[in-house]
Amino acid sequence: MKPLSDAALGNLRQLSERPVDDARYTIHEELGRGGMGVVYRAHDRELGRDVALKVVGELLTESGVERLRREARVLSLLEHPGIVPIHDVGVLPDGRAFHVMKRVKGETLKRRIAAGLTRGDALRIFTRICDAVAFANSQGVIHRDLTPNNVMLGAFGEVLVLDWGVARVRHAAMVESVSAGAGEGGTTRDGAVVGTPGYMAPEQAAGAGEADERSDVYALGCILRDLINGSGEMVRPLASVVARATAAQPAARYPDAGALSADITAWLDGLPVSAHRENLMERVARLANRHRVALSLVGVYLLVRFLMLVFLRR
Amino acid sequence: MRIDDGGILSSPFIHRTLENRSFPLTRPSIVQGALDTDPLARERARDAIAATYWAPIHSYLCRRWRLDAADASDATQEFFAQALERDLFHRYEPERARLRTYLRLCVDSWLRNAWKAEGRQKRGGQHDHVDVDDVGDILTTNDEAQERWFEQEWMRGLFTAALIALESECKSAGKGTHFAIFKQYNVDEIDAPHRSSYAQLASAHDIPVTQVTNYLAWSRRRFRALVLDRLRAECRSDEEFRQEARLIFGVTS
Repeated sequence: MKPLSDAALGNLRQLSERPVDDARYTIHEELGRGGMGVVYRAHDRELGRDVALKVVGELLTESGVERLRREARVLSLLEHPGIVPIHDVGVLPDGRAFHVMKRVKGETLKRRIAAGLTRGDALRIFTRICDAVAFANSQGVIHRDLTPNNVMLGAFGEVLVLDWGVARVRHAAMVESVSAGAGEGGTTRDGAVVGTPGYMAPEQAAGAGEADERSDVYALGCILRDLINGSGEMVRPLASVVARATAAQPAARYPDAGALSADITAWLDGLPVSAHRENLMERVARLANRHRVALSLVGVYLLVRFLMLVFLRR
Repeated sequence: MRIDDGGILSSPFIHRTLENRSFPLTRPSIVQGALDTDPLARERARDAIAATYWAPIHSYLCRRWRLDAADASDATQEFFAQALERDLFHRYEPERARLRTYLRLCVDSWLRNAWKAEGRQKRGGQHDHVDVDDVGDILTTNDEAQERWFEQEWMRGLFTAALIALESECKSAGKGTHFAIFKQYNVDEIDAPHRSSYAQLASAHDIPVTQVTNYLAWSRRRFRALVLDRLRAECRSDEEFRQEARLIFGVTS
């Protein structure tokens, strides 16, 4: 037998990675890959619908499979419009674990940022990400790997947070439900640091401190920075929000995603944000912007009065 | 022994490995095996190493040391013979480098010393040898591009060995058609301008199209298992195995 050509080697490598069809699911093309595995488009032959089937990478270890199952259990307990619902979990014929999620037709936030967004759209998307994370946090679940790649934007305006594979479950009740439990701090049970560089809170990167809501706030701050940079100039109040969300010390950050979302909503509504102490000029500019319709009407009225005065004096 | 260019894999080491029916499919680490006190286990492990590394080392000698195919075959043969004779694998320290890096650097050291010795012999000097200390020095001045290239060749060797093993397994299990279809569709026709459809494959082998799908799925599953089996055998720990799998399949975990 001759040595394999480059093309044959490439094909065999790809082939070996691709999961073999399950009794129920026919596997199609790859949709994307993240820190925890590869997502494929699959067809559920039983229900006759397309789904997203996520397979753990090359873990093949008990801890890897267990992590996937844990993600499924965590997801099944988080019922929120901003969190992708899970349909099924199982093991492929080749021994790898998978779970089946709703297939979200759309694009990742990363891709949308690259394509360009208006400031308003960017911030509205952001508040919806915050809502999903705040809900999970309120249920005692810390995502720990929030990045623009882990947020999907659906074709009908859905904003969905994905990849809960390294989530940490904090509340005792939740830990009981998710019997596998979770690692402490920024590490998994087997001690590996989890998260994505550039979005990972310092305490997670160090693997020392306990990851909590504020670790997710840090990652959200990084996402907010990306969104703002991708949608125009960084104005001072928003820069202050980003700075507070991404403070090195957890205590200096927003206490949770809800508080961060509230500041962004306030900015969108023309209200002051808690992270920024504005000077007189900024306050005037903000108020003028907030009441621009009323001010415009007053301006038109004054202009008309002025013109009438001039006209009548002639 | 001299082998032709297209027959690198017909080396006696590889055949010995493949013909050794007692070689279990799920093996303990060949690295551990190479260090085993049991001579039989040691020999098996060395055969397995040679089966995977023969082709990469041959290619490496052609590329890095500019040997022609025939000289590279002789040199590869000689290297493995020396490695066995001088217990080179026993001197491998897994904590210092991966096996493929160690072997590549041993080849470098061995060939360099062979050439030096050749010069000395002309002046009545010693025979060539592998200087393990020299390997240690080279480890720190590693050429990244060479490493990457050798890695690619190692992968080629690994997948080729898995393919040969699949062929052997299929033959002994009476599944020759499974292998023939798998190889035709995924290896032979990959470089061809036109790839057969499942229907054409079915017609050529006189089986229903659904059988082609089944045969390909079975072969793919077995092939993957054989690749991972070989890979696992080269790794000392679960973590290393995961890293290597990530490298091969490009998947993070």
